[in-house]
Amino acid sequence: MVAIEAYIILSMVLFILGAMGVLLRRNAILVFMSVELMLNAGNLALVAFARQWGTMDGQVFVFFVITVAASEVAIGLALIVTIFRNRQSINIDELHQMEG
Amino acid sequence: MLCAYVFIEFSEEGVKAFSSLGDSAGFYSPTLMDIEVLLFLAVGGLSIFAAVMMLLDDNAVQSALFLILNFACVAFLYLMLDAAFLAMVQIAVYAGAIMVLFIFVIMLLGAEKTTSGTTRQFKWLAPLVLTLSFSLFIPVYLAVNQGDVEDRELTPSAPLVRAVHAAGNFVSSTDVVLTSTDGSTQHTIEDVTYKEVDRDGSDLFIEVEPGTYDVAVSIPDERFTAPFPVGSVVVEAGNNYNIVLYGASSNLEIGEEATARTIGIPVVTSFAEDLSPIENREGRLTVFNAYAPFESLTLVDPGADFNVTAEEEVETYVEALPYGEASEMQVLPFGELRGAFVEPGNQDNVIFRLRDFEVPRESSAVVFISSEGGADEGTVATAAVAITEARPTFGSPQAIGQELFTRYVLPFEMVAVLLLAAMVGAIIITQRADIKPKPGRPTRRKVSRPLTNVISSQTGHSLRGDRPELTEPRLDDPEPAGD
Repeated sequence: MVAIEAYIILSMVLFILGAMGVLLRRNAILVFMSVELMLNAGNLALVAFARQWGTMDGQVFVFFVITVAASEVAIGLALIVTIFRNRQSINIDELHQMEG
Repeated sequence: MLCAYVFIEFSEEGVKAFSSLGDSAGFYSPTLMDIEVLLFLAVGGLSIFAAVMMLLDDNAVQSALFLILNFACVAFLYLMLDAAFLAMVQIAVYAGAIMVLFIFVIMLLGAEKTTSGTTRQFKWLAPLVLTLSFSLFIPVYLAVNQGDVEDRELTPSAPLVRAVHAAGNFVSSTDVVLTSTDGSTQHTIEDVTYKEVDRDGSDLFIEVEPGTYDVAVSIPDERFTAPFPVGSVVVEAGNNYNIVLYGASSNLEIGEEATARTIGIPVVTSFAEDLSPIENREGRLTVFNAYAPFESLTLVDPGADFNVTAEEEVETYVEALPYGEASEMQVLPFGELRGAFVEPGNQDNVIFRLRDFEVPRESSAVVFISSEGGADEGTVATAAVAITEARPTFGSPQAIGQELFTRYVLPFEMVAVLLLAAMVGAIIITQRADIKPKPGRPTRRKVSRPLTNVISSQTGHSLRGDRPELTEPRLDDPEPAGD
């Protein structure tokens, strides 16, 4: 049995890689895929904790996270398709409208 | 599950190979755990490699494929973490459905290549993100070095008890009152009926605090308004207990003269029932002996004719079970079981035949055999069977389903509504662009309206009054010049 710390560190590394993808990539689809990577890293930590404490709650939460991720992808990709239709681009650097 | 099984087989062979290597080297001999660590390092390293390649690749399709590899690695780690069902969901939903959607959209938009010509507007962002990201390792370092995740003890669940009425000479239905010896808590199990224990299976179990409990029963007679104490039981955490009323310690006259009758005050005992996860095609069998006339009973397989002769060689399930005790739990394949309770050492004296009995699948069955009627009027043996489902294996679909439809049924419904809302939202978001006419691109109606104007100007009278449906005015259109 691999110690839970190993899983938490792996989960953290994947989460950080996902966060870097969200902040550094310009392709909106890649930003979305990085968000999925972050969700997966969180799921991995939840499953590791579920085994550590011998309860099913962590796994049930992962089930819910997967469902929420699926609906998020549906909405997000619909947004990307709409933006691409209007602007002919999904480069997020070109999509500043709020001048923030 | 198959994957996990193959994995264990593979690791055992791997252990042998590695052990022989270690012996020849003389200083290192890995165990099964080392193999698991090696597998974890390999799969974890592959998942990090896939994530990095996803970030660095310029081609969005290749990025998506690397993300699928990463999801597959995470699914493998789920298998190592006893989450077989989630591993399959991960493959089917994440690596399957969601990533197909991603690749479909990438192909639809033709967005494989990221626009490399444009300059980055936030050049300062990259080092900042790197610093922030790696500073996230500080809490992990603190948690790993100072946290007590490993030290936490598993808290055993609260004990569950159910009352079973197997006393043939007692009143047919009674309330069982459990009072802890210090008097702090009291539980009442209402309407415990003789021989009725398999009504709703596990629902009959109630949760109590661990400790010692005094057991009392209610007797329907005006002289006994308070529950009548019959004994005490000890319950410990993490177990399921059957509290059994059986036999008779003393006799008691109840009722008025006309309806007076003698009842036997029962004895109470308890035994723990094992409801831990069990193999798919097996069931557990326990026998409780409350049959008074003999000191012990034996349960044998009587064969198809349900008859046992003295010379016959028979398979014995339970050997000489003493009165008032539960047998050792037997694990048997599920399905029909022919049984006959016989007198020990005198096996042609069959006391009770267990007909139409099936060992339940993935469940635990307890057979209570008891005696009815006093010794003077002849004793009849009778049996009741209590069947309780065993707990599902950790991480199995049954375990997830049980949680989802009991404690998490409201979140489950909410997630269903969320999915519906997301579906409707996706349709509306993608449709709105088509409904709005774009400026500069004339629609069919705009073409037809000048035509009617042309006709009206040439013929001299307006068409609008004749065909109002053709010239429905729109708020955003300018009034036709002819009117």
